[in-house]
Amino acid sequence: MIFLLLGLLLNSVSVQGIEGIIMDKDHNPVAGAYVYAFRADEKEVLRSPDFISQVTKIDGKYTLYLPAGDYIIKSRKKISGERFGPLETYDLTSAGKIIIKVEEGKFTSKNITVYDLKTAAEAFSYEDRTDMGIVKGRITDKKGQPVGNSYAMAYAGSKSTGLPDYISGLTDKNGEFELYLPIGSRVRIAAAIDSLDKLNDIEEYVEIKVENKLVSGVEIIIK
Amino acid sequence: MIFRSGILLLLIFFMVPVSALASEAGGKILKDTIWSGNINVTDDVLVIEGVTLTITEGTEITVVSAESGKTDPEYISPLTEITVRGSLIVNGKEKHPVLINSENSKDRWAGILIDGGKANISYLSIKDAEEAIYCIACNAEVRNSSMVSNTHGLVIQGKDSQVKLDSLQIKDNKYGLVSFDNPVISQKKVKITNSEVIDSYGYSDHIIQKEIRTPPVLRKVPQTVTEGGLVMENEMSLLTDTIWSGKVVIKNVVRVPQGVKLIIMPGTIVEFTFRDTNRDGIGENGILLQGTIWAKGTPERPILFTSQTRKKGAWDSISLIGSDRVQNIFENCIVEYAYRGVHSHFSVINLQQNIFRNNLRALQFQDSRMDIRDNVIENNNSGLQFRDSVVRLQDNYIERNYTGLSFLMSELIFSNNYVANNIIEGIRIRESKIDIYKNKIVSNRKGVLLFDSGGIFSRNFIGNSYENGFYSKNSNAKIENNNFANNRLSGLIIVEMTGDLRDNKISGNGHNGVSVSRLKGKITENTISHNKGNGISLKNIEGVIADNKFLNNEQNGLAAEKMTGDLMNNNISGNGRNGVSLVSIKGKISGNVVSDNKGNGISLKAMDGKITGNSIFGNKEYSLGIKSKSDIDARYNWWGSTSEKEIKKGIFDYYNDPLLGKVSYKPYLERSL
Repeated sequence: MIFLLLGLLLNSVSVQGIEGIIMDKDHNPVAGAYVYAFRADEKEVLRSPDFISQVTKIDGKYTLYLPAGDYIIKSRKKISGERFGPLETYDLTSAGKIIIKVEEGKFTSKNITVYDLKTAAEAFSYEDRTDMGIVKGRITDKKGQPVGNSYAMAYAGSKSTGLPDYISGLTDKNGEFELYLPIGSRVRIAAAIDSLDKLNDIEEYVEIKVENKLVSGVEIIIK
Repeated sequence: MIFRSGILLLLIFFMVPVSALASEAGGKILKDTIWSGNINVTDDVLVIEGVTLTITEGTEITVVSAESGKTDPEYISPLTEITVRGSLIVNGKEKHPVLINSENSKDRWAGILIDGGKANISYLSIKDAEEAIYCIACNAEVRNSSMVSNTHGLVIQGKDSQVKLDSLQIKDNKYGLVSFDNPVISQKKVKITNSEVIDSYGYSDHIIQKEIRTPPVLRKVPQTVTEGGLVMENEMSLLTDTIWSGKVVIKNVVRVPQGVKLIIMPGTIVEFTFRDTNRDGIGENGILLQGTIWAKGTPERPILFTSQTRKKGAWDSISLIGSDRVQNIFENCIVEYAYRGVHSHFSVINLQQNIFRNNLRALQFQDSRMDIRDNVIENNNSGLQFRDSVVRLQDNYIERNYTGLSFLMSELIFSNNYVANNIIEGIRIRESKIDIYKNKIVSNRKGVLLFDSGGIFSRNFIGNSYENGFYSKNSNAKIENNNFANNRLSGLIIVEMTGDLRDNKISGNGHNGVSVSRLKGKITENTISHNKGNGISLKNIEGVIADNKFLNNEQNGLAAEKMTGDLMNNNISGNGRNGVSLVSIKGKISGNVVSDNKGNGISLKAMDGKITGNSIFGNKEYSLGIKSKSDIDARYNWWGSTSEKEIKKGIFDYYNDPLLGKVSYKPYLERSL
């Protein structure tokens, strides 16, 4: 009778979860990593993971059995081999929030890339918007001296008046700025020190095409 | 399905008796509530303003003690807490006291935190808390109660706190009764015994910021919010790029969808009305962005985000959730009275020259990239909280918040900031990678707390903390070129660290200059002087201690227990007790100057190594006193005299007590090195 009940119980429990390969940024499988699943509820902060995988072997493969539902997934590999603890310099972690829906009786396939912490934090910025690049440069006066507390602004296409399409934060004392622009866009970049409601038509500008994720060395002279 | 229902019934059958034993409690208490019987506190409890929690006689409360990464701004501690902003009545009786303990006595829970609330407490016993009772601007009477085996027994803080204490037993805590910033305390029959560090102390030394540095931005702030302006009555989405100027009144939630830009012009006042549908005292109006925001004021015409309801949490937040990956800009803005001033997930934000004040939390970020420069973050419950983010913080003022900054699993570049007068702690960092340099961290209750993290901490000034200046546990760090001065307890406490302590100045601290337990690394080139306890106190050390100065400390210059490594080329002079006090050392003592200490030059118990090439002279008691049976090789030292009789007189060994070993001191040096 007990065996019958157990059999019925096992039959009534469906098996599902996620599976895939943990890879580094060069798509090599990563051994020694764990996958952590957090129930994706209304909480904004992830506390302790609800489920943890076995450690990955040389093929980087993992399987994590989960009850059906929505999950936030992370993966980490600690050089120390520990499952928990602070990220050290050479530890690897997945980037951003990976949300997975696990349906009853099905395994969802998800390969996960792990990076060092800094790359991971930067990577998520691009995973959703791979079309964005950063233009770095310096704003100077006509004598070549850096201008702090100014900002760079970009106009798309041939537009060069009114409110810009993109602006940077304020420059530091070295006149340095960072401007986020769509890759492939052609823009006119000018510098300003006035507030947005007092902008004049731009006269001095640099025209560039953003071809890569990072464009550096752009020098703009402020009038 | 039928079978599953059967299992459920089976589970319920077994669960009922268990759940009948204790009621679970956690979350906000929104109406008057009575606790009795057995209560299991599984999550933070908050008694909101205007509400009373009454605990009846004989109630036994167990608190789950796990530390969490929770971030809700209305709570105070990372540990499980019972926070009272309304009223707490504890009606224990002599034979039926109210008991509150941790679920596991090895772990801490936060304690009862009376934050601007009232408490009337009789016959209460509290154990295992970080602070059994912590009063901030509270009005409390505590009678016939005990606080036993906590980190702090009672902490009473702020001149607005009025506390009557009667017939209390405060014992076996690390710290007994602690008061900061001139609270009004009347006490009778308060018995404080057997505290590990100190029974009681009070301290008040807030530094006025103008005495240190002027704020980065001075502004003409719009003071009056007048009638009129653009009024946004209902929940709505901006469907196209939008410019706000003048005055905007928000009476619900404004959404900025992906692809839409909200530009706020200089001088704009954005006013949020107070809407509280769940009656938890926290406003729900705000701006929710998935597009882009440019709030770009000027120093002369800042943008003001405010509420006419002048209280923390009167409106929700400016929330950026997966905002477009262009930079969101906040410049020359004033953000006040929010639940979370600016709150971001998966966004890129640039914050410069803003003021965040009187918010429950000024800034909260998760999975974001932040560049935060030249801001003033003051008078918030919590200044900044980050998780899983890359953050550069530079030239900011972070002052008079409950907690200044909290970082979890983030990468942090933190430089040239001023972190001062924060009521509970200045900086808390956990599981992060750090580069912290050239900051002033002064007059916080606790200066810096570093847990499970790695990186560099250099060229900072950490001073006048009400408790310890710097506390590190289980970290891998280089601590170099800092100045730890005049902290009320220890300058640094280091527990389980791999890393080095190099070229720091550690002086005038109220307890030990440095306390270290379990270190693998070097301690070199530091100047540790004029501390009221030991200069440095070490336990379980693996590494060399070289080229330091341990001068004029009130207790021992250097006290070490279980040390593997050499003690070389240090100057250990003028200390109030022994110059060096060692228990169980495996290594060499060489090249040191040990002079003019008021106890022994070197006091030694169990050594595997030798003492050679040192100058040991002018110490008030013995040059070298040993406390173990082993013989000691102490040849080739300068003992301050060429008279063998004088040298022999300065050594305490077998010839003073036949139960001790002998010291070999011949040949000896005839002059100082």
